[in-house]
Amino acid sequence: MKHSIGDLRCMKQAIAVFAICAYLLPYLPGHSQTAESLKADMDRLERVPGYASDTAYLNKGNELGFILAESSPDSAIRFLDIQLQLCREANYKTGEAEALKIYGNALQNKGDFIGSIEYYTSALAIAKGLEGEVLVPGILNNIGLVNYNLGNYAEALNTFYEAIKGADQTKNSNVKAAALNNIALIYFELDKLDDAKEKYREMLAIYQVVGNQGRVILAYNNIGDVELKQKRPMEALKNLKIAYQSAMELESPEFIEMTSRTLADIYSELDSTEKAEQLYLQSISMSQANGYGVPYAHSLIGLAGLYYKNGKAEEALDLGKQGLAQAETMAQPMLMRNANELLSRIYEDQGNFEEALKSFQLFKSYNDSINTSHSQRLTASLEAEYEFSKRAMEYERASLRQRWVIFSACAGLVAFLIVLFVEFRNKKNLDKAYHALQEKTNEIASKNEALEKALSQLKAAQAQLIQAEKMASLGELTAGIAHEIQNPLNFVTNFSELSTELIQEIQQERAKKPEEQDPQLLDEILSDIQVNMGKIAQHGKRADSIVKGMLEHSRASTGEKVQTDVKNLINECLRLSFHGMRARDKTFSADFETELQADLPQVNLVAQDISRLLLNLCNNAFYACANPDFRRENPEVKPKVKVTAKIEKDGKSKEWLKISVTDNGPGIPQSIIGKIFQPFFTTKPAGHGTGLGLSLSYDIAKAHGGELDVKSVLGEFTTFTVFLPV
Amino acid sequence: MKILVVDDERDVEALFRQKFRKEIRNEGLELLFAFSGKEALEILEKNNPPQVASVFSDINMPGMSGLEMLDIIKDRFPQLRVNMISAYGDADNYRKAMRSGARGFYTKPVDFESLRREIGEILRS
Repeated sequence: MKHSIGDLRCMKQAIAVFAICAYLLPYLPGHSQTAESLKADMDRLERVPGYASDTAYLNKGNELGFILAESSPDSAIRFLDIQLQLCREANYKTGEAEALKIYGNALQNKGDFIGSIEYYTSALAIAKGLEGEVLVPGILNNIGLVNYNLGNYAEALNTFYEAIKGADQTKNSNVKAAALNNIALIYFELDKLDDAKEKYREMLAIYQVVGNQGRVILAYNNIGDVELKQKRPMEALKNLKIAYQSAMELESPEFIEMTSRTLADIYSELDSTEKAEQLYLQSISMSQANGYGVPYAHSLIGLAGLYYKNGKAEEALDLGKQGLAQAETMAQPMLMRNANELLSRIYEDQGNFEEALKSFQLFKSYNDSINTSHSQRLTASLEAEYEFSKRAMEYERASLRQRWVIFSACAGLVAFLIVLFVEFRNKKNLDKAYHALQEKTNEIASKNEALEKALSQLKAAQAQLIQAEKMASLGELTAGIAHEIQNPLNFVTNFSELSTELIQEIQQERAKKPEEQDPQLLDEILSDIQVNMGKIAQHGKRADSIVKGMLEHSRASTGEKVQTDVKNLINECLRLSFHGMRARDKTFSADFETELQADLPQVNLVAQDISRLLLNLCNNAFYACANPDFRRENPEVKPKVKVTAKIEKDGKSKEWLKISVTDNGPGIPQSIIGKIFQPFFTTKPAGHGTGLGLSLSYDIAKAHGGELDVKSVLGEFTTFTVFLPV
Repeated sequence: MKILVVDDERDVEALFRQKFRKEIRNEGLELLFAFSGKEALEILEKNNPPQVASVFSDINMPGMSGLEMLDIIKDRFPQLRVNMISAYGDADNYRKAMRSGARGFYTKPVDFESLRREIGEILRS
């Protein structure tokens, strides 16, 4: 019990120190500076005009104030009054909050807890208004510490908890560790030793990560302290040896004193009197020299207890009295209780029952008060614990939320990766599909190319076919043409021969005696010769026009429209067609007639093409009504082809040249009438028709902006009518 | 003595009249002309037996062909001499004409000397 009492104040002090240090760390990386070097820095900065509003100067001031608050609270307070003033004038809020907090530290070190809490509260108000609230956790930790010192454990736990939360949010592991230490302290007080040790271990882990040797020493020291209270002095010794060794390496009087004091408690427990005595003496001398009030009282009383155990009553009494006085000065009820208990025993042993009673009464009174306050604290702490666990749950929930958020993020990430993977696969598939598509496209492109090639070949073939069709129809016409040429040629021959004969006759006549001459005969012969010459010329021209027509027909169309005598064109075509049929088929026999409008005007058309069209229609007509099979089967029918031509007006008063070619053949069955204009459609036996005649005729009519129609009644007639715009 | 010439070429008339001017003038030859088979038959049918001693007909004509006409004439007037004239001196037409009872077969351009001999023979008979 006495170990823990003595330890408490020591820890408090240490915690207060490091909590502030932890806070200062972020912007005071060179906090190891001494008060002297800080003063020197400030003197240097003071030489610059306007230094009072320089934040660097004000930070130095706070750093110095912090050191003063620990070493000399009174001078710290005087210094900090000015420092506060400067920060306010410079409107340096961070500096002001910092100064207020250090002011609170100084007051706390003086024992003015109420005053310190006022300053801390002011500091907190400013800190909460600052960006990021980075100062808040540290201030909360200090407030918690004051509450702890005032015995308000519930309030203290809440505040430490807030501090931890804030520290987590601002990632301030130093403050978090400090708050953990302070929570452990409360658990320690409440005899929840396992919990206390766990918190200390958490704290140790943080400081080891941060690499703060002093705080690592403190953690080991406090863990050892707990273990000592748990009656595990060997384990405690192990931890304290580490702590003491580190403290010696650090050459820090505070930590050396602290660890040697705890070690002394342990050795005392282990009855290693010599070592315990030596260490208590070291603590006492160091505490005295450095003004560590509580540790001084603790070690005095501790050493007194050790002496009493070892029968050195006088030394024990002397030290016990000193310790009690020091404890009273420091207002430490635990230490006072422990001291009075020891003294009462010593007095009793010495037979000084009066003093023994007094001491015992004091002991009893402090003990009751402690127990009362302890039970009050227990009640309060139960409430606090309830509140704390509520808060903790809340915090857990919050961090659970956070974890949930992290989990969600991870899940999201995993989902994203899955999606990415799926997308990747899809992309691969898409790529595959794309490549397949591209291949298809290429294939199509090459096929297209092939098709285009085929098309151009087809076009060439078509042109050739058209020409072939022309030549074929020309071939069909050859006989007719031959006849048509033969006839005029015969006449030319005959009439020229005749004329020669007539001239001979004239000569014979003139050879006669004048009285025997028949002048009438001569006149007759001469006029015959004249007629004959006219016939020769006429038939010569006739042959000429037939040859020209033939050449024109075989030549490729120029597509040039010329004013054409439609009547002539029709007669020519009809005769050509007729004689062609007759020439090829010896048995051919057909009649034809024309019914042409008398005043048929000249029409602008491509004569060559229209004559081909008409030839086709005439050839078809003659073939239909006069082919041998049809005549054999229908001997009663007199094959006849009739061509009519006239100008007609349509509904829009537009004039059309209408040429109809009618035959009295078998007619065209309805089943094939729709196909007759299709290329290569023919009803003629193989080798007798190209099947292109009507198709080309149709194209020619269309090319003229005209129409080609067919009407047919089976067994009666077929009429092809071409309409050409005039 | 009447001779009927059938041809769709109208200039045949001028040709024949000049060619046989002497026969017409001196030997009582009378030339009749028909420009289609149909027309020829009409002329022939005016009198039965026909007043025509002989027929010279072209084969290649619109409407009724010379060969068709030959058949009809031989059918109706078996005694009537019919000579065929063709632009196409092919064996087919010749055979057909001869089988149908044609007396002679002339090829265009007509050899008028042999034609004159034939007409002379007709005139003398």
